[in-house]
Amino acid sequence: MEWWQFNGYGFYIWGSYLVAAAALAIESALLAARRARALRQLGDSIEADGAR
Amino acid sequence: MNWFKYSSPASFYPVAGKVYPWFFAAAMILFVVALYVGFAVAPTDAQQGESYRIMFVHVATATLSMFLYVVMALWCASSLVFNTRLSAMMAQAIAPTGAWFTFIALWTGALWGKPTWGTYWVWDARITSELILLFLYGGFLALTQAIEDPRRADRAGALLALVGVINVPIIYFSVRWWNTLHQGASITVSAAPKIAQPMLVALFAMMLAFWAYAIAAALRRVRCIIVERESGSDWLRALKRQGTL
Repeated sequence: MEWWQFNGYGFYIWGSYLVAAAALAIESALLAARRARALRQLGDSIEADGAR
Repeated sequence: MNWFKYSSPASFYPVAGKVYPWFFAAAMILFVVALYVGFAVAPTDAQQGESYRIMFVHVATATLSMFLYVVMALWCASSLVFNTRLSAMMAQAIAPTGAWFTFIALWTGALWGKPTWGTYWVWDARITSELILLFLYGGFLALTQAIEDPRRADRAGALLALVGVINVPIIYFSVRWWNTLHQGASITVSAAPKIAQPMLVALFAMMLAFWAYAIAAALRRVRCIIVERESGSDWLRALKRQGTL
């Protein structure tokens, strides 16, 4: 049996590690998106105040 | 050194920005070490076979899910006692990462349970109390986002977090207090570890990796929260105009 199949436990082991990696990747992507949104809103707010 | 200086969002924001990339880099290095030792060096377990390798990620995230909740509750207590804005922001920055770790712990626990116990889920005291922890994180996040006034949201969230902290010792001691299917701890402070050294190295490397990741994520998030909540402040606007935000 191949190494990556882990004696038939491959589904459970890879299922654990891939979901954990996906969760961390999603969290990092959401953080990047939140920061971009916050900076854009701050920029808009500064621009709006300058236009007044 | 006056540490209280860093309780101000204006002082903490640049420090967090300088520090978090180092924690993120440390997390990535430690993840690689943990995966290498856990998959290539650690031997097959005599009783559980290969499925025990799930433990490296499961134990690390389950431990941190509890610890992060306690840290979050401490920030909430600090927010209530000292009425500092940054304390409430830190609590809100930790909560999503704690919730993700709780989700990972439950998911990996289910995938370990199927080959070991024959079922993905059982209403065992440890697993049920960990599920309640996920609901507590979710409740804290929902409550703080549902209230429009940030200061009122901080206080309401802090109260919920402090009430919910009672669940953490319940999770930890559940395997002793009740006759559960979930196994007890293999590693304790008072006794020698019951697992082989490469397994121990992989587990500690994974725990440190998740620790470093959690700190980096919380610091990144608190910077977002500061930008969102302090958008009217002069210091933030000055940084934005200088392009150093």
